[in-house]
Amino acid sequence: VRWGVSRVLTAALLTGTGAVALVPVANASDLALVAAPEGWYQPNPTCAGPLGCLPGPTPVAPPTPIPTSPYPEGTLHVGWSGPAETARTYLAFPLDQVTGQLTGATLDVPLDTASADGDMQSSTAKVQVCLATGTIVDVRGSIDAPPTIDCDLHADLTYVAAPAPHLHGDLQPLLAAASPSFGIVLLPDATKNAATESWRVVFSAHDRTDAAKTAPARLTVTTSPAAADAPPPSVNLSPVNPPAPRGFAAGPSSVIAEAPPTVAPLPAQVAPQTAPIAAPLVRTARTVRFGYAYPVVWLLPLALLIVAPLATRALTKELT
Amino acid sequence: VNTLGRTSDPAAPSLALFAAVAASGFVAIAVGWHVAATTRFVPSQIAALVSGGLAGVVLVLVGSVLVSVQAGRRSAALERRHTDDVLDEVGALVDAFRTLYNNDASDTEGSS
Repeated sequence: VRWGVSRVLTAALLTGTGAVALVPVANASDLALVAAPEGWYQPNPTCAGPLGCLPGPTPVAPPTPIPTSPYPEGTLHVGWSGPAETARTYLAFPLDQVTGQLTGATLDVPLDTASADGDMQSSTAKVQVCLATGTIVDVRGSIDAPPTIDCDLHADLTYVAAPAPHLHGDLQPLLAAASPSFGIVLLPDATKNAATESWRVVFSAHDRTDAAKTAPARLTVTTSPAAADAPPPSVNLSPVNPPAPRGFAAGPSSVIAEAPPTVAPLPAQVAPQTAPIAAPLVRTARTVRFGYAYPVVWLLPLALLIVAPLATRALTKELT
Repeated sequence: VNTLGRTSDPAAPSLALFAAVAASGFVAIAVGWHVAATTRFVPSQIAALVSGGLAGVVLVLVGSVLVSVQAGRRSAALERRHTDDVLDEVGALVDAFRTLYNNDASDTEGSS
């Protein structure tokens, strides 16, 4: 009898443990997803040279890998140093494992505000979220051509200071083009950041291991249980590919394709479902301006040409 | 006729120009400080300090030296002018004495 009771208790404990592991983060209609893979890119420094962006890898591979990021391993970055972008981050969420009809999605990005990790005036950051139409891979501070993006559909992230500093945004505008592998890019909004502003936000990748790790970026999707038996979603990505921003090397032509981003599926955490939602398309025309912060400086040579002869004449003229 | 120390001072426009150069240096320093103070991005701060600070200091120095040189030239010209005035006064005085002496001599000869 004692062995029988033990077996029953053990089975009950194992069943309970398994049930707890499969419980979604929020309630039955809100599911929290963690991104994988994640990658952040920075401008190729050779693009600022007179020869433009130097293509491809080095002819001879270095004996040891050369780190391109001075920041801690496992951190992701979005940065702006007026008037140019200094870092952007790509996140892929496995929406293919979500069943039911998507009715909403919000993104929360807990921030690592340690300046030693790269944070700089994160409270002034103006970050937008666009669709990533290229393949997202796990890279850290890569200077290669980043995956293509589509910013016709975009959403803004806002800085929230309490209870812990994080970025929050409603991704409803992006859901109209959500694919089974939902790839997004977090990048500075060039229309809202001034040429004199500089900031950098840092957050943790899901695989960060050091002591300063914060919670990874979390996409909370709201699903409607009414369409739980609906067919899997169809890919509705726009084939529009805007040109890569300044500073980034141009990508190979094969990357510019209509293919949806490929992602590795997340382990558990979500239940099967999903049907495409029909959110209205929001397309806005935007103008991005580049140039000198103080173009009046080009008048200085002209002023010198005027002042120098006047000074010479004044210093040689008889004053009596 | 230009007369130093009056409204038609020939050095006044150049002195104003050189003072404006020095003043523009102070403005450049102020702008550089403002730009550097509005960002914590070190590369931008260095650019602001070099363009605003160093260029401003150079403008202030050049403007000050030019003002000093021109003021020295003006002072020397004024001194020369005063010397000429004194010499003119002395010459006129000598002429007056000479005329007076000649008149006294002719009167003496006439009476004798």
